[in-house]
Amino acid sequence: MWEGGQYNGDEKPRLDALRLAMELGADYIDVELKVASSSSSFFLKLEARFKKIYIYIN
Amino acid sequence: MASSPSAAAAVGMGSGGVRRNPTLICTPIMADSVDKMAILMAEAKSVGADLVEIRLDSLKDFNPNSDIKTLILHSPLPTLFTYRCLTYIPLFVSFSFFDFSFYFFLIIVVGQCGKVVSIMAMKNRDWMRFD
Repeated sequence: MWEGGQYNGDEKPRLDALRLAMELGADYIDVELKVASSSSSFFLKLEARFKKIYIYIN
Repeated sequence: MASSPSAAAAVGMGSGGVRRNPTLICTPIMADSVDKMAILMAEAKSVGADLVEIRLDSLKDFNPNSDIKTLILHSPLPTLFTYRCLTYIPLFVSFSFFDFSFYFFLIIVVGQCGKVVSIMAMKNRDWMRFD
């Protein structure tokens, strides 16, 4: 199930904001595993720059 | 930095001193403005958090470029950025027909940033599910 948030817009601006946070020097980025299939280029960039922590939310 | 008594301080995980426990404490920061987030981030540090989870989805009138820059600049702790979607929202759509003995009821469940996750229809009291 989805951990509840408040964002109710399109996926692209959401990922653009997270990508921007990465470019501006965020230490960690929280990205859902489904992003790997919907935006693989962003996911690969993240994989190259960050260590991974896998979180299972039930 | 002086810390108020907290679980984090009790296990020696404040911003100063020797760390005895490798577990990090991450504090979610939720507020409707960047200014309020800055206050909460300072508070998180004062009680011994190791990093802050900045919940971008809680901001009203979010301007990614300036807001993210400001948040990184003003954070006294390492930052974790989260931009989380709404939970599943069921949309109820009903149709009525000329004959009231027959009715059709449709539920479309939308989640994960607008993606339709489930469609259920009820026709004459029998539910059908299309995933």
